[in-house]
Amino acid sequence: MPRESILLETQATLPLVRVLAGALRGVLDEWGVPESQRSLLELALVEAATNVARHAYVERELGNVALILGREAPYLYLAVRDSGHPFDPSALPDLEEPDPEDPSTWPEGGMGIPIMRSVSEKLEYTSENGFNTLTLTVRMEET
Amino acid sequence: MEIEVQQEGDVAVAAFRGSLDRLTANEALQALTQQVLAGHAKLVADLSGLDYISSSGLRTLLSVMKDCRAKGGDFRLAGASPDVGKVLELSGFTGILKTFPTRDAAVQSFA
Repeated sequence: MPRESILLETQATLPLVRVLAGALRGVLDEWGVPESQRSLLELALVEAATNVARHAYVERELGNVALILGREAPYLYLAVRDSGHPFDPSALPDLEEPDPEDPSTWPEGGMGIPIMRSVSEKLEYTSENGFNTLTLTVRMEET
Repeated sequence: MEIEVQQEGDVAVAAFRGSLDRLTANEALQALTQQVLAGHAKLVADLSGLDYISSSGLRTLLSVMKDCRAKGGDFRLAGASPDVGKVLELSGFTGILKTFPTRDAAVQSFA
């Protein structure tokens, strides 16, 4: 099957991240991605795009966040691109295992990264020519 | 997102409806912190009406859990949908966040 791709782009604000997630849902529905996987991919997008909306354009003019979706069976590619401050979440270490009885070991943040890692086979980050791109490679589940 | 709080004996039950994400997390944190500060440190989150949770929502739940524990109580989750349950599982915090299939089971677990 030839690779198809779709580009969706919007201003990097939290309300528009929700709109982007809804658009992703529509595309994945059209592509026949099962419901259980759709919701996890929507979550992975929200995590990545929320990071962009919160951090990428701090102390600079608000820019855009783009979602580039591709499919080439059996894989889906979900890339989130911005032109703000580079930040490579794929380089962050895994969270330490928290002790349920010791709240001081419970994480304050960084919980989106394990979610993105767990839904994808590969998590890649590039920063070049002024654009930062985080790409998740995901094996499409059978319907 | 809406949160409706009801008292069941000495347990406060907060029923969530809608999405718990970056946009709504602060509102949820304020509502639940208010309960803890009012002395309701035995708290149940009824998640049966919650259709979505992100890592910002998870952070809120952990924060409320810390507050409840610090006051000698606990914070327990009930009725999570398969999607929300999956996020809890992926986050790796199922050992911290105690989950129950129903609101009643979570309330009774405090007895």
